[in-house]
Amino acid sequence: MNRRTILGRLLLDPAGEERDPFSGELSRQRASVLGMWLLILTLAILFAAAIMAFVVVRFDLSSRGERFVPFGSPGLPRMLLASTALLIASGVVLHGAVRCARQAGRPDRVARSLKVSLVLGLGFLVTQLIAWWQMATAMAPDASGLRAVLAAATANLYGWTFFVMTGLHAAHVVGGLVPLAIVTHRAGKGWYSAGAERGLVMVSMYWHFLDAAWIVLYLTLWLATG
Amino acid sequence: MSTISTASPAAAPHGGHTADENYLNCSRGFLSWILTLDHKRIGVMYTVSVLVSFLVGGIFALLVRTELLTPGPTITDSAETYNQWFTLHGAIMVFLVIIPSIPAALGNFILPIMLGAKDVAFPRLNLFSYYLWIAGAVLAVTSLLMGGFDTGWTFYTPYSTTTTAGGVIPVVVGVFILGFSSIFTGMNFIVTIHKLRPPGMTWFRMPLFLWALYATALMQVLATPVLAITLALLVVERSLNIGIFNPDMGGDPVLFQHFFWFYSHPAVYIMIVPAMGIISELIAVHSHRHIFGYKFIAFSSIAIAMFSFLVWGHHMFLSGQSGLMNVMFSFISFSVGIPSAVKIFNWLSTLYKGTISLNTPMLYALAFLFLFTIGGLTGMHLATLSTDVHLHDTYFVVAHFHYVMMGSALIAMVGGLHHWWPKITGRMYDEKLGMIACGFVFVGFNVTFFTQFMLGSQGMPRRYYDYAAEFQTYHVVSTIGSYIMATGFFMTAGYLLHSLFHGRKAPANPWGGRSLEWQCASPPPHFNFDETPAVGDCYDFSVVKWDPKQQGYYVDRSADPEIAKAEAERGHMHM
Repeated sequence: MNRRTILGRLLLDPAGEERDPFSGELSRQRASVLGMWLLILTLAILFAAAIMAFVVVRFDLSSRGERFVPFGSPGLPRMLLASTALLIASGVVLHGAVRCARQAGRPDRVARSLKVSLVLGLGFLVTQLIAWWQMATAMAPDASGLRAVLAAATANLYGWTFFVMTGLHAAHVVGGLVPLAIVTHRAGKGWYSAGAERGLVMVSMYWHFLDAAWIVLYLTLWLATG
Repeated sequence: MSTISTASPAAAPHGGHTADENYLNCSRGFLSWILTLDHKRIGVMYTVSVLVSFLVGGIFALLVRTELLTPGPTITDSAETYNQWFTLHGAIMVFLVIIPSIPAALGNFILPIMLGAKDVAFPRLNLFSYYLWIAGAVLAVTSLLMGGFDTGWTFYTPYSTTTTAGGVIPVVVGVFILGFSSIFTGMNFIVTIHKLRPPGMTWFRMPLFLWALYATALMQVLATPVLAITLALLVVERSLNIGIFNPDMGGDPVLFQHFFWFYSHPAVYIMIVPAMGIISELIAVHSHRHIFGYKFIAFSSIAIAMFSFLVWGHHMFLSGQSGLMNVMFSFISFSVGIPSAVKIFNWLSTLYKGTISLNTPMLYALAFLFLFTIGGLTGMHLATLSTDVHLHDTYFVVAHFHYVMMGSALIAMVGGLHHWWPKITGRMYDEKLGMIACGFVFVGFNVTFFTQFMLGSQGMPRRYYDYAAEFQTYHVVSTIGSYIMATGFFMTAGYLLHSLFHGRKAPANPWGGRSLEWQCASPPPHFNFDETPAVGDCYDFSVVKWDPKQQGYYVDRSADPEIAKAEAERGHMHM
């Protein structure tokens, strides 16, 4: 896309055109890393607040002697274990891609690792959807499709928590897959090498955060339902 | 290069552009504005948007005050309509005006120039923040078309999840989006201050406005996500009729209040801390005297930012939280008085024996000192548990937070707007009219809100449409005050707009400032500076000299050994 077009000017120009305030790629990358840490900090607080709100309510229930998981409700879907494995694997492969880009030489390997990471990330979303479907059909056997999800999410606090929490995380995964797809596309054109790996590093930092957030979220749900 | 190309008013600018080229005339057309990555143009767009919102929020304030002229119906028969008016007034003023007014509007314009940088660290993210702001504002307008909202700006559950007003979801989504606008601006400023300081500007050589913006940005980044998730859960709960704030399903409505105030108390300091930064600049520059207690002012900004996260419970003394928590929140809330007072005393000491130029920005700064002191001290009454039980949810609270949010934060914004007006527009406003308008605003403000302290202490509850006849005198006085204040603001709008077309051309440095924004032309060139200039002590006014030819000041950079030292170090680094 031409950088003179509106979209090109806003999205596709990597160097920040004439308003780039940095004098070199190294200082630009350092600033971007700090910015990404701040974004991760912000999102970490967002997830932590959601988890904290849930934990408070969960303890309130216990202190009143009420059950969080009502009798007859299904446990957490086993499929979540598979999705966890896929997300971690995706993160490991992505880490490999960044290391590969930093040790000059093999742009083809960077691109290949990124493709694998992207497929594993998509696999995570698919397994999450399967888990949603399993949960919905177990909690609301009479309804189907999106109606079943809605029925399960409004049945009780347990269903609500499951769908809202996993949905919150899935939304952020979708927001990570888009840039991951973009860097995968760019890596195919040989954009990333030692000293020019900024975009790749940004995506990988965000992706590792999604890994960590999911593990904490999953552990919380597991402890709360146990 | 040892001087800044545009530093000396006498020197001809060089670097490939003509003398008259600046950020306003370097490119033309609608698209060149809405797609600009220039922090100055983005700052101007924010300023215009914020001022338009201020007009709208102000009109709702006048409607509220007019309705309260008499007990019972005055201009509307419907208490629900009245509820929508005060809700709109509060929500617009908080989320669309005061929170973005200083960091996003003035901060965007000034921060990179103060750093001698070409732009903020992420110019594209900066424009994105602006469009998020627009999206949030559009959603707020949409909510009006969908039936409005009457929850109060605090959106307390269970009222916000059950009210029949149709516009709750769009406005809550709008505020959610505005929150991210604020977060991205904060991120941008933190990175810019960390990574783009000029040679010679160590942390303790930063102008105090930058310290204040830095502390503000920390709060924006750390507190706003809590509001975001709270509002997201509120929207889910309202649309699904189930959620963790709903006691029917085992949830807890007070949890909403905890989460809301965990953001919204820091948000109050997101409003006041940058205002304090402006006051530090106004008082030092317009009394032409080195700021007193620089480090104390800088650290007190950071201290206020840290305290801000530990005091949210003082909004909830009567919510049934434990007595121990009440005592702790009360105690910590008192502690905020310490860094605030440190600033007040340092500003007073700066004024003492200063060569005070009694002009409009200085008048606004003095108004700030007076009004913030009242606002701060009445906060002590409210932090005291026993008196708060009586004053809770009365007009005393309304008066207190108007003294801080309007009398301090907004007054500082208007003062800052006058201070930087010549820099932003390249024109001088009419000083005499400015001072008269400031007088109207100051008198009108006190008539409006000091009266409300009396109303509140006598038991008039806030947010009521109807009231007992015994309160009417106070309400009439307060309403008259609001008309006086509105006169002042309309005058201000009038002479500022007039100056755009007929004002005297502004010199580079009309006030005798010494931070970097006064060392480039008015209005600044497209790239601010050809090369990042070195800086010395930005409050050392001994090197600021008067140039009768330009009718303005200039900074004699060769007279400052610190600048020479910083330049030498840079030369060393280049080798």
